Amino acid sequence: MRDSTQRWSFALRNLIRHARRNLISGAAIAFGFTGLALMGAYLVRTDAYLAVVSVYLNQAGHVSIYKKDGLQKYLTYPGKYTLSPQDQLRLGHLLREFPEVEFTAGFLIGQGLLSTGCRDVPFLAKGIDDKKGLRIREHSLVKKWTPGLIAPPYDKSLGIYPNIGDGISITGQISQMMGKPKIWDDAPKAVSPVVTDCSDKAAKAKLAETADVQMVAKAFNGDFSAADAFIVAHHSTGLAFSEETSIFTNLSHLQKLFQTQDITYLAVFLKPDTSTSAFLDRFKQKLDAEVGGYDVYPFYNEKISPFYAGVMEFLTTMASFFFVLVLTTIIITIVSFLTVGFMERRREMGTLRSIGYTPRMIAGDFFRESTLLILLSTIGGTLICSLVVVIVNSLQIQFSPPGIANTMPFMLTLTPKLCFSVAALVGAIGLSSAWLKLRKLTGEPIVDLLRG
Amino acid sequence: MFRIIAMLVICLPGQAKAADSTPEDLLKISDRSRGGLASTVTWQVEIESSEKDTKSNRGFEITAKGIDALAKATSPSRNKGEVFLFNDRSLWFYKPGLRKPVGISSRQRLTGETSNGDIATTNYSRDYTPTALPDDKVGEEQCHVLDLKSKNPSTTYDRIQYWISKKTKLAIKAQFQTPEGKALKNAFFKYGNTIQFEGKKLPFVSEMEIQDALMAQNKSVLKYQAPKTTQAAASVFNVNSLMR
Repeated sequence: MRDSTQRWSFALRNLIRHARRNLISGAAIAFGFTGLALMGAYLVRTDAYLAVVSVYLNQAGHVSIYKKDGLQKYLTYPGKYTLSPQDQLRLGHLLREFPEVEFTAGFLIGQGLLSTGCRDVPFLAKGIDDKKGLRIREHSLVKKWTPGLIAPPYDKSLGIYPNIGDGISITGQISQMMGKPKIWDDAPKAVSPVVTDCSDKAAKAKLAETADVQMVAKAFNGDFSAADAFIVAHHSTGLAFSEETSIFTNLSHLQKLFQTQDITYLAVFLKPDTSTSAFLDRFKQKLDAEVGGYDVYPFYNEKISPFYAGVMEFLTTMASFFFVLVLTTIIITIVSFLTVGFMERRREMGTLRSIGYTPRMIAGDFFRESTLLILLSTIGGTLICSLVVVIVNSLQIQFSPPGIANTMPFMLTLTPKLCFSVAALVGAIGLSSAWLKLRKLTGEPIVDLLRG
Repeated sequence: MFRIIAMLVICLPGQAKAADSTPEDLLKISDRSRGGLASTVTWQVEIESSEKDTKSNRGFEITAKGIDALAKATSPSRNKGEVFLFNDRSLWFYKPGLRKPVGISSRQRLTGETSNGDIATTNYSRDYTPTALPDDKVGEEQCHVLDLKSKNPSTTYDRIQYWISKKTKLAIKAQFQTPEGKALKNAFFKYGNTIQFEGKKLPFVSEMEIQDALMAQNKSVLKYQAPKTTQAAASVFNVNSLMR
């Protein structure tokens, strides 16, 4: 034990003794580490942002359960491909056996027209129980990763108006298209008059004053149907393609409009840090064995979250390309610096060999030096990364990537897992190249080593 | 003088006949037998729709006058109380529980192959610009064929090809089309009813069968019963009176 401690202490002394040379090698390792870690930090951030948007804000859940073929056909044959109350009971019973499930929520999806009396906008409405909706919005992961999407003007939700049974939340874009800027809290608590002449500007202005609208749709039984609604909140789906049509409303309100007791899908929300794929495998196995007749999708399936799947695939491909480039540069740099360092110390190796050190002992000492150098360099790299992350995040840079509604904050997220992974990679490259070089060098004849 | 009067007597009926045959006049005449009358008319309509393996039935009581019409749902019982009001070119829907009537489009599907606009009166002479096409036969019936193009976007269909019997001046077939002329639906009419109008007995539509142009098995049959002229207050057609 003492011997081992002495050897590490000896390695540290040697490292300090060659401070200038090691500082250059260490800087190369630290900056290589920083490049890889920052690239990873951007990927981590984007993945978390889009995953939270998909799972929570667009309510796909970590896993969603549809009737067999329901995902493809729920809008065309809504009465046939939805989950009946019996289906919901059966699935609820089965899910109780999985402790990793945090909660479940049933969603009804239907399409129709939203009307002010003078302006109609097609909608794709999603109905959810008020309390569950509030629970989703207030989830710690939503607050952590997408605070901007629940901050003003999106800080109000259906769940905080339990007494308004026919409240709806619309996107800012729908609000603009319909000329209905006001929500329940800001508008007079009245219904706008019937406007028979929409070219009358005064009448149109009256429509803009109130928060009432009407929904028109074809019910699941084929009947023509309509329902009143009050706009109580504005929301953003976070995704450009759904901003023109997205409406959220109370589940019972939407069920009344579509004259059904069914839901379109059951979303399963897992406890944080649960592996979705591991849960999915186990659940599917049990579902197929015990009931059958359902389709189950994880949130990262392209049919459920095409934007998430598409963006992450693109980013991963792009990042992999840059990763290979950066990694190659890092390997060359680290190996060069370490090799030059060892070559410059050939005489020292020769002297040690001549006083009785075996090649293995010398290689071991130098290897310990390299280990300490890499360890200190990655710690330094972590500090540099942390500093860059703090600076970038504090700048609050907003940008508009294609497909994202409004803007998205350009932020980086450095996690311990990411740091350890990159450090392990950099360490593996540095140490393996050091070990290979040392074994070759220390095995050379003493005379050759002493010549330098 | 006698010769002039004699010529007038001989020519006038001929001129009238020629006027009847213009596309516009053909439309006006055919509209009357599909409810487009100046006086108040009421009738019942039962709609039987079949699509793949599903069948449905709807019933309405129609009150119409000129450009206005009121359709009250009579069956099935879950739809009782629902009302469609056609005010000129606007269409309103109301059902118990709604805070106010909602403006809807006549193009929206009501049931089966039937659009909202199909259940009310027909005013093609007002809503469409007709152009004569070469004559054609529907079965054994010789017909004038008109190409009707919509004058405004609130009509039920953008374009209609319309077959009007040369003998009876009644429309016996319609093909509802896209603006480019692609067939959407075909409709066939029968006139087994009569109605008293200005002291005369007019034939009145008794059946309208609407088929999907691509899948003819998807169809709706509208059966018209008990048409009669009556009196109705103007307020019947007032949108604000629907909530009372």
